[in-house]
Amino acid sequence: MRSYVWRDLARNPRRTLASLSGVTLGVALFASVLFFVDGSGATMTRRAIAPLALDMQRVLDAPLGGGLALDQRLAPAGVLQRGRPATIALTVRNPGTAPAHEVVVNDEPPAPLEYDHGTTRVDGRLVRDPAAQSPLAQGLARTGLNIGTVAPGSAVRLTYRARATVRIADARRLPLDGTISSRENVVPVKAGAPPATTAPALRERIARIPAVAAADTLSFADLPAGSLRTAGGVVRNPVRVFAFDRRYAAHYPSIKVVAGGWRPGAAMLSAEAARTLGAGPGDTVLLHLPSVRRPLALRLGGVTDLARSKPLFYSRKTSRLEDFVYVPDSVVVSPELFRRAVVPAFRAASARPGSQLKSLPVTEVDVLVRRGRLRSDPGRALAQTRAVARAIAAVAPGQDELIDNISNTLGVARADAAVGRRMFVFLGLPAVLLAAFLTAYTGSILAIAGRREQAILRIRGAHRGHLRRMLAHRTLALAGAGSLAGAALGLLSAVAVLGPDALRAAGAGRLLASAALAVGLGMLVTGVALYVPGARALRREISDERKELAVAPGGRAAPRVVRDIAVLAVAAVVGVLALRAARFEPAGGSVSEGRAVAAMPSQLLLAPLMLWFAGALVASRTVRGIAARLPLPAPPRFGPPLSGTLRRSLRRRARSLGTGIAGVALVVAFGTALALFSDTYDGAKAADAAFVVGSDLRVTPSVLVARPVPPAYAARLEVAGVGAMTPVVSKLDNAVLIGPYDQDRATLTAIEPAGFERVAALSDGFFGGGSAAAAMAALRADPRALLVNAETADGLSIEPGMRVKVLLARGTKRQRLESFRVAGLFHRLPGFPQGTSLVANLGFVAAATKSRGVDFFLGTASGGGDGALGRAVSALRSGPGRDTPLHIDTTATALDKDQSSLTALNINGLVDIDTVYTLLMSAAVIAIFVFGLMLERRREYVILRAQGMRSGELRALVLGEAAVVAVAGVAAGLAVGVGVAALLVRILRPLFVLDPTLTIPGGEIVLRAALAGAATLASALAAAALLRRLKPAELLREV
Amino acid sequence: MNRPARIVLAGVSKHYATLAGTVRAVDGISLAIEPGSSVAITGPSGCGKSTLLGLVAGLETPGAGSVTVGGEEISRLPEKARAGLRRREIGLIFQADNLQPFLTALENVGLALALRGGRADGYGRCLAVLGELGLGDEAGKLPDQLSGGQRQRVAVARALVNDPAVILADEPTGSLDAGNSATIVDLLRGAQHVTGATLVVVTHDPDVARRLDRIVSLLDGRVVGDSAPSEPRECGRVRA
Repeated sequence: MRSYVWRDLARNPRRTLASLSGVTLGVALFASVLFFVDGSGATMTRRAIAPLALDMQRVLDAPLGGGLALDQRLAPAGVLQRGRPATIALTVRNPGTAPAHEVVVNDEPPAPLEYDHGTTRVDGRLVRDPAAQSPLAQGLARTGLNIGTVAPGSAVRLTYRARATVRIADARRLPLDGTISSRENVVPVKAGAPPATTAPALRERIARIPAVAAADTLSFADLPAGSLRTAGGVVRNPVRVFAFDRRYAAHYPSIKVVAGGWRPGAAMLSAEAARTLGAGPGDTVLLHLPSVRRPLALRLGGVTDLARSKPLFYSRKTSRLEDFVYVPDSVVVSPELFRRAVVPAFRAASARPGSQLKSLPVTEVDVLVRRGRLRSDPGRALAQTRAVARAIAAVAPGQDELIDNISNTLGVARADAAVGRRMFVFLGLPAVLLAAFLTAYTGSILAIAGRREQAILRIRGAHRGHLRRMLAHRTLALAGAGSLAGAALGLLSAVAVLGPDALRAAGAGRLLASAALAVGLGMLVTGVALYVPGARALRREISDERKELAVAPGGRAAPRVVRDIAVLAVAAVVGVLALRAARFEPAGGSVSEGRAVAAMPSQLLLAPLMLWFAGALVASRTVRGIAARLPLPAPPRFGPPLSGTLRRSLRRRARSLGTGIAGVALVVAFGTALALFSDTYDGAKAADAAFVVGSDLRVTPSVLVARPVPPAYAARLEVAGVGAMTPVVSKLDNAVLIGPYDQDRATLTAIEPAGFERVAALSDGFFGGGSAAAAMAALRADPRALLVNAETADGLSIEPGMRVKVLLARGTKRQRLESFRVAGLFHRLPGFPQGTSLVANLGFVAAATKSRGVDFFLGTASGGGDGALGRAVSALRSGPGRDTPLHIDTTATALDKDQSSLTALNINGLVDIDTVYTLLMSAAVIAIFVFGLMLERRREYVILRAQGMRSGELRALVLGEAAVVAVAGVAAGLAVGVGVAALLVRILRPLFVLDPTLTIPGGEIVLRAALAGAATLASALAAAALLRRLKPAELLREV
Repeated sequence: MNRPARIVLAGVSKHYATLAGTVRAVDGISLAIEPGSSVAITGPSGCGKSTLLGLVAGLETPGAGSVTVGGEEISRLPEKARAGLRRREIGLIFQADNLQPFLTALENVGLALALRGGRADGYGRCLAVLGELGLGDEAGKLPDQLSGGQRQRVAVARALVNDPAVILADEPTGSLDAGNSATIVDLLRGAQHVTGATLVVVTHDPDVARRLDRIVSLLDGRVVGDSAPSEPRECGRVRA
């Protein structure tokens, strides 16, 4: 039996190939998706952590030192009978060299002990109970007892008594939770905590951990305006004093030395401060520290450009860790000097009664992990970095805080990878369904064609069991060979898109697992799809053929239409419910908090899947219904032979037509949905990038530029390759907005409305009810017009049309209060992804503040694409950039810095694979349909030939049926594909900053239709050629 | 109505290459069939009867020799012209009815007429022919709604509707019972008498052969007997 099946397969190569094509193409697409996931996942860790500036930060809790220690003991140890007293003793020690002020001791007796009233003593002196409570846990807040100043080297002993409310078996086991804090160190320290370690000691121990590439100490403190000066000048802005060494600078290359160099004992000045003071290497600057009368004289070793140094200026506030808060005027001193001079100054200032420091110094150990050792899979890499974090936390535990940026980032990447995998499954699942459809389609056609052979076998004595076994053998052979070939083809496709290195990185085990899954699932699905129609054909009698002629339209088709419409309705209901539940709204993500950027409701992916399948089926059944009602030439004529025959065939055999249309529609819908989604995805990414940058280009004059760059400089930047440039002034919290009832700090952005409208990536959606053009026109028309961020306006109860006051250039010598009219509200402004509060007219703001400089320029590139962008950047660098150091950001660099590893995925590679396979599959469906016609109807065609129908007419007949399938299938597929893409884009909305709009790639759609047409023509021509080779005399003789 | 056509085969050969070697289906046959006559081609299975009919119909082209139908050397005509000749001059009937399954009986007949160029009252002519064959009430039925005999009569109607000059029938009664066989032969003979067409029937059935003007016997692709029905010669006997 096996040899019969083998011979049957080998001697009917066309049938065998037709059966294999569906299995192979479908499984190849599914396998390529699996391999693509493996390959992409292998680079996800690298991509995810690439933009990360700091891997880990160990921030010291007690930057001012102090070293207060608390010892707590309970006596007697052992058994304590009910009602018996115990004495708790707390000893505060100050082993440091400076006094600790306003020391607060907090403690409560551990349960089941109860405070014995009136028993608290400090150094033997009885302390009165406040409101019948323990002095060490007073009031509702259970605040501790302020014991005043503890001198250096001294100790204070506190005792109190407590009674057991029940029998205690072992009093030593009771938890003792006393804490101590002081003005210098407000973070409570637990009793028995080890002595505070120093930053250098911590750094040294962390650096010894094998997975740590570098551990460096960084300290900084913020000083008020006027703290930095020379004999002839003063910095009138707030100043930040940093402490790090040249080794730190070497590990973080964004710290750039622009003059002089790192010299022992010498300080470095930021370029802005150096320019303000007119100081350079070899000069001396004076640094005024809090509570120190005499300024610290610092000899300058060099000048640095810190404007892009993320490790130094990322916010250390836990709620704003991702904010880049730049302080232009800064000075870098040695860690030793910081410890010796800056910390004691702050300590003294903090100890002064009534003093209120705005901020305390920060000291931390910044850690770089050995990234090369991290596993390629974000989940596994996360386990590694968490282990590193545990090792770092274990160094002097319980004293300070560890900010684990890299683990948080990898956690996000892991979540992104999971979302990506689900997304890919959606892209791969239809491939399996298509494989099943193609296989079932081929199987049903071959079953009809093989009916005669089965009849002969039955005549020769084969019973149904034999035929079923033969079918099983054939199914196994075709599904097995097709799935194996598909897996191999899928691997080749993934290699073609990702390159062999990416797949090698994924590892053999993972690839083998994917291959096994593809082959296993492919065999299962296609096996069922092949076996079922074959087995059904075995059960059918010849008289059942009558049912294939749908003389009366309707019949069994009606319940199927109802079923398909029901599935569509379910998809629609899921979509509407999700929409109403705001599941498509983007959830804010935070890398620092380890919260995934894309909280994509992936279960909703079922909705487009249902829409795809049911939509294609409903469309095909609709076409089938229309075909079954095709008007025929009115009697008494047959009509022209060709069209008369074609119309009657279409009308009366709409069922096979419908299956062909469904096949083409499914494939085309899938391909169209992917093409549309891919274009929309790319468009949304580009729009996001343009929004982040503000336009195509953002040109920021370097801090090294000696003089403020005026707005008119925009004209100089408009070199060949650059379309237009517009100046922008904006600094964090540079204004105060004063509303009718309240006021708040605000970030004011000043623009030239006409130029900004021309250049910036504006959208009407940014301006609530109004349009971008109207908002810009309002700013242009009235110099005192002001656009207010909707949230800010809401917070301060400000509405359009109101008059408000704004303190411009806040905190500078140019600050000035001006009144404005609120011309409108806005939600977003291009170039300000973190948001801005106010938008005003640059001309008016500059005149009011007498300020000449701008912060950056936004510009467009002449022409589109990366090439035009590259040419514009080159022209800027070789032109104005030669005299004026410029930082140029583009939409391309913005995409590279994308924090979301999911949106950074090369989805185009996957879509390319899908596109090729969907085109091949649509060609395969048409070819299978045409050759199915040939198998099923070759006798009919030969009769027509015998009756005198010419070859050309026969070809036209085949082509006509195939064309109806192709045209109707493509049309239905396009319509369904657009619907699926629209739904898919809504579901993937959370991946993007801006609301993506569905892009319809006309060229690709035309190409798809043209290729389907070409496949139809080629199949029909091949079929006609086959027709010519048939032996009519033999065929017509067959009974 | 077409003028009856003379059929002339001169040294016609048709060989097929198969895995088992070359099959000489028709091997140098020369034969002339007079216009308006009826001829039975008989012989054992595989002796080349159907191939010979295919050559006369222009469905096949000979490897050697010539086939002339009504003065036109059909074997030299291009495929398009042969198709045209079949539309105009030849009516074909087969053992299997070979009706188009998606066309009603009337449409099957109407298609043949349409292929020829049709007439304004095409269905009228078709209905008349079907009526003559006793199928007036079955005209609107699909082939699978008809009995075997009815289907074959529709096939005959399809062949006759064009008033062909030549009627070629390949085992037209092969799958029919005796009664239906007799009816079909009666129909063919009647049509031939009415139209004066040349009738060539390939048959195994001696009763069918005897009712025609002439019997040509084939064996291994060659003519081994050519006689009037009064002196029939069985292929087997000739071989013996």
